[in-house]
Amino acid sequence: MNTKSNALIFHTLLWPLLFFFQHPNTSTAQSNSDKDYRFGTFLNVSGAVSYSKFRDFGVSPLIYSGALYGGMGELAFDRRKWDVAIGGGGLVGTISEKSLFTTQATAYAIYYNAQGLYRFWQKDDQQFDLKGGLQLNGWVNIRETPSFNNASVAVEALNTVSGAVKFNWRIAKEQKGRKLLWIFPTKPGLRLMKLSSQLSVPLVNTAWRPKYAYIDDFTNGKSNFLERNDFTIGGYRLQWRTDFSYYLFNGNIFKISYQWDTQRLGNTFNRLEIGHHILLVGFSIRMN
Amino acid sequence: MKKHIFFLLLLLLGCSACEDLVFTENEKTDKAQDNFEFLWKTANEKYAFFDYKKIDWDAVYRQYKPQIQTGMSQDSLFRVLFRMMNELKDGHVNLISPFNVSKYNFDLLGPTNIDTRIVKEKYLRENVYTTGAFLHNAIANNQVGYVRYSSFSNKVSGFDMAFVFSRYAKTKGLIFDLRQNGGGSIANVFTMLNYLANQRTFLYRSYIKNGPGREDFEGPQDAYAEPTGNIRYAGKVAILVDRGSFSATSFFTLGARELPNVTIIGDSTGGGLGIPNGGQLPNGWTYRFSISRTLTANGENFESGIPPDIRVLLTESDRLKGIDTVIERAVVELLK
Repeated sequence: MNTKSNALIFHTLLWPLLFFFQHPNTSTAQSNSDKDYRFGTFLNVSGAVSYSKFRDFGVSPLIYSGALYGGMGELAFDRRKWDVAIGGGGLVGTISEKSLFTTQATAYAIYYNAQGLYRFWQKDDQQFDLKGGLQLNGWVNIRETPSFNNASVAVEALNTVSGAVKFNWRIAKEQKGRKLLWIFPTKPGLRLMKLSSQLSVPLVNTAWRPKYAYIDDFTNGKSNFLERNDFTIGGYRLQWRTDFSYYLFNGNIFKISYQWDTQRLGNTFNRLEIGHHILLVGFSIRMN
Repeated sequence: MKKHIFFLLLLLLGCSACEDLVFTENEKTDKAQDNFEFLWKTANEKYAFFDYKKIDWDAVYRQYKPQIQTGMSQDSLFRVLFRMMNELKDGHVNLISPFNVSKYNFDLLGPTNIDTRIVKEKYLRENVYTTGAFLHNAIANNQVGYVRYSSFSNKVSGFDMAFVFSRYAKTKGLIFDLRQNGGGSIANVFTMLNYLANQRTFLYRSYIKNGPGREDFEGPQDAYAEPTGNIRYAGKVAILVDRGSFSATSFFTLGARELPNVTIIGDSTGGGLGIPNGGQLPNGWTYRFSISRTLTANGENFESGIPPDIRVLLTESDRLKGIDTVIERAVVELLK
């Protein structure tokens, strides 16, 4: 590897990490600042791996499952009274069904989320609080199963307006200097952590997905499978998301999240059952 | 704190278990009875041509149900389902397992109306042109262009059509030989028809199943030829077909019938104007069958084969002389 390559690696990989751990505006330890670092505006960037399951009765009575990989991004406004977030991401991978033989499908899933939650209960200067509000989120799924011939492609958009309740538990703990995960050295001081858990239940669940007959190459020569989609309201969905936030002294956050999102919709002939178990690992960069 | 985290994790796991509310019981099964019932019912609700073909699907159920035995081998089950699906007499019907694929031999309903060796030796000859998927040459003292297109699975581009039109621009007629062309991509149908049409032309209309009832169809979806490209062929055009001309080839033939300068010559096509829809059985095998129907402007349904304008079959005497009866008749028609 030549010097130029080394320099490229340094600038593309290491510089963002240095930026993350040593934000110029927040280089002071939390305990020495007047600012309440539990709150702020954050840009979250996460890598995601999901164990996902699909069953689409329009083409098969069998459950397809597998790992999808991708990433998510989110702009989050964590305020004392409000939690507002907008973001999205995508997953892609191979799902399969193993009977006598394996049938494979490629799955693409694009996710978006917007939510606003208002605090309605708090205790001990918001060591604990509960926030509730509305959430609008959805998935655009594309599944490609070559074995299904002219019904090989299914494209659907599943959108939900949910009522959401979020529980936040903020922990402040005086700590001595040590190494986080045996790698990253940390300073002594007041360590902040947060455990959040949010449950969302649907108020309006909608689906725009293939109708009775799935087909992606019709007789007028225009392969427009979207014409064969139908909009329906109904079905149900449950979402549960838990985040563990580990605040660095510079105000940024190391975050691990688990998101469970499952739904059933459609009619008897094209009922769709989906479950995602998504593990997110990423950073939240403080924007203010 | 540990107690709280443990409680939260427990709650999380409990909630994730709610997934069983979403995912109903796994229907995966190798049981012969269940797979027979599933396939029969799915075809019963989705297949498009029961009435047109006068098939009593309930009678088919009564005929094949007794042949399904508990514990029968996968191969035996496949053979029963193979025979049951072949009652639909449709080349767009297949059952696909890891060890076998069922198919209906629509091409055996008539003679193979082409001898490819004669075509190669007498009409395409050694100086044959290969332009994309087309093999072509001038015949009948350079008065007719002959184009052999053996599969709609092979892509046809606008360039291919323009080159053929330009090379045979001075001929009196052009032959597109689609005998034994078993179909392929419908996109190629429109590439060709859009070059053959001189003006926007209605071709046919299609209807697609939208419910389990025999007459639950939505549509129509109309298909038009939209002239593309700057070059047009001014002479007459003959389309050669036989019972082995199926699916996309039948769509092409049905559309070409609407063009004023086109004559269909040969045998009836194999049909296949229903678009096949795929799916899966509880044991993982896959299937496909027709879920749409396509009609002419007058409402005629040629699912079982499009009749030619001029019926011509290869004769044994011509074959022995190394002559293709159908091509020779097309030449006569084009030079009239």
